[in-house]
Amino acid sequence: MTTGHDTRLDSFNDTGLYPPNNHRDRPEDPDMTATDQRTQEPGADSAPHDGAEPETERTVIFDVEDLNVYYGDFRAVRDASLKVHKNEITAFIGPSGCGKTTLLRCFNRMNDLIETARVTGSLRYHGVDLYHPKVDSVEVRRQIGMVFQKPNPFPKSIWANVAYGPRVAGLAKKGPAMDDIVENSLRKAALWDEVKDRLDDNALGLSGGQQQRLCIARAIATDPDVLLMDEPCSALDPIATTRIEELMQGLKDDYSIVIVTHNMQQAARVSDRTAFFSVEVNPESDTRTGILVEYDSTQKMFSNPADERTENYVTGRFG
Amino acid sequence: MNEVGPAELSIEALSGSPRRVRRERIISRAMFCAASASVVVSALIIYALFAEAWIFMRDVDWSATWGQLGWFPRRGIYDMPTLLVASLWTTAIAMVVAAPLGMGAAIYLSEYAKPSHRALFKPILEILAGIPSVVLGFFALLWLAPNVVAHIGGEGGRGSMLAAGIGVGILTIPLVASISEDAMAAVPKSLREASAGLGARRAVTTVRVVLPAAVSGLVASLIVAVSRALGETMVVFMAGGAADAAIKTYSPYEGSLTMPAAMASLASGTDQVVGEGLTFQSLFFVGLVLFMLTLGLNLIGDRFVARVREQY
Repeated sequence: MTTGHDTRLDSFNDTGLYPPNNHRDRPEDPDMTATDQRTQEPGADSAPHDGAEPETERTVIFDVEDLNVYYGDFRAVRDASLKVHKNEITAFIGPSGCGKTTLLRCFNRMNDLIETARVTGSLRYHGVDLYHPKVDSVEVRRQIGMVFQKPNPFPKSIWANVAYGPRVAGLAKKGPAMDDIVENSLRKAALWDEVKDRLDDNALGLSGGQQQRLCIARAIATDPDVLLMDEPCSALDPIATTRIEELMQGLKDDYSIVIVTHNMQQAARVSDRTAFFSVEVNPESDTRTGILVEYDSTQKMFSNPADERTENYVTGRFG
Repeated sequence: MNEVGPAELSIEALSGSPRRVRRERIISRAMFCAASASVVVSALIIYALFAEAWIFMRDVDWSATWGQLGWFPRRGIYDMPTLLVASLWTTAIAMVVAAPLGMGAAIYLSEYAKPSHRALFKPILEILAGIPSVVLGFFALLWLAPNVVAHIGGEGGRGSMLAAGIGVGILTIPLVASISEDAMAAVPKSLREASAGLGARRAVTTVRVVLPAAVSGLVASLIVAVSRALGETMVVFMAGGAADAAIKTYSPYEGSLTMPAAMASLASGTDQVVGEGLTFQSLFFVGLVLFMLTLGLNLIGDRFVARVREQY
């Protein structure tokens, strides 16, 4: 599963297409490496520095095709199709009620917790149909971690919060092995230095930003393959938000991240690809169904989107 | 357009209708009186209880209240341990029945039940809560005794503390279930989602996240249930296997009198409360002991319930 070579393409920096202040550490253009999204001639005005094939397709983690999500009779998402790639940050943006969170919650079958939710179409995770009757949602969630909109640490100690997932999954028991997992997870979540002296304190005593980083540490403690983040910064102040965004850039090397965000600037800052969702009002029933309008590299989505609705949204004329 | 406003503004213009102001005041006072009535009634009960109990405590030969053969109030023998042991047994048996069944029902309703099942089970639990205790007393004596007690070492043909305890237990199941379920429902959904998102199954989420977070409420439900079981009268009177006197026994298979059952037996009957001089007052003394016990338990229970509200 390590076909995601470091396909370095500095063409965008040469052509000045990258925003000058972007802090990506891996400036490859996802556009050129994904066959389904290829819109430009690769290699025409750029040469790979390390000899990697520019055409190399990044491993597809999620392959969504014609996915529909229903709550009872109400269709929340209609015919969504997209591919999520390994070691990338994929952002879902769009106005409220456009189904971006609903779709995200399909990826780890969190919608199963809602009695009336139903999914049709195909959602493949590394080629496996996630909604196959034999697939156990609990096993899925062990591989696909989730960070929620509001920080939701357990009312337990900081240590117990991080240790919860590994313990439930049977990865380790109390002891040095678990201590290592807790420390590593907290380090990865950039929280270790702040809490290392009070691991036994209740997690509810942390600030909002620290709580959310704790939730990220808790999610990565089970060593998942993918991290789903549902508006992880919406309850945080700008400084805490910046920290989480920096953290995401660091986590990208080890995990694939899908993030739902209300904040377009955030999507532009952190993500490699962006999917824009919009709302379609059904004339007869006055219900609102989310549709995927456009999905492309973040670069293209924010500079030269193909769809007029995307352009209106990202330029602030709508939404 | 010029500014438009009232030409003149006076105090009278802003005083409101005197009739409405007066009516508001009357309503407020009426409601205060209604609230006060319950306080006054409580005070009267405590006064009546204390007044008669005081006579008993002053005049009784205290050796008659301890180490005697049993509870024979009409003969001047008021052995308190007889009643306390009986109350302890029936309450303990009731809890053995009510705690697992009540909490199990609460866990099912709060964590597992589909909405349609919830809609079926909750009203049934409420019906169980509404069954008159005299009906349950009959049930305990005529069904539980021959069909349950007889199979676990007791005699089916008569009442016993075991039969009474099981009956009281059934009576307190809805109480345990409803308070426990409220406590679990108060645990934020986000915690369950966090746990599920980490790959925990429902049972793990319940044991590791929901129950610890709701523990104060669960303890409260048990304390309230104990207090209810201690005070339960009709079931223990009917199914407890003793009429107006009891020989001291430590075996739950025997019949005996709990505190409320002893009071009920003294206060009932055609011969009124007659006997040795203090028989009547002993009724109040037992009532006072019972009142103190349940009051203490309720205070502790309230503390736990309050702690549930503090969290989150």
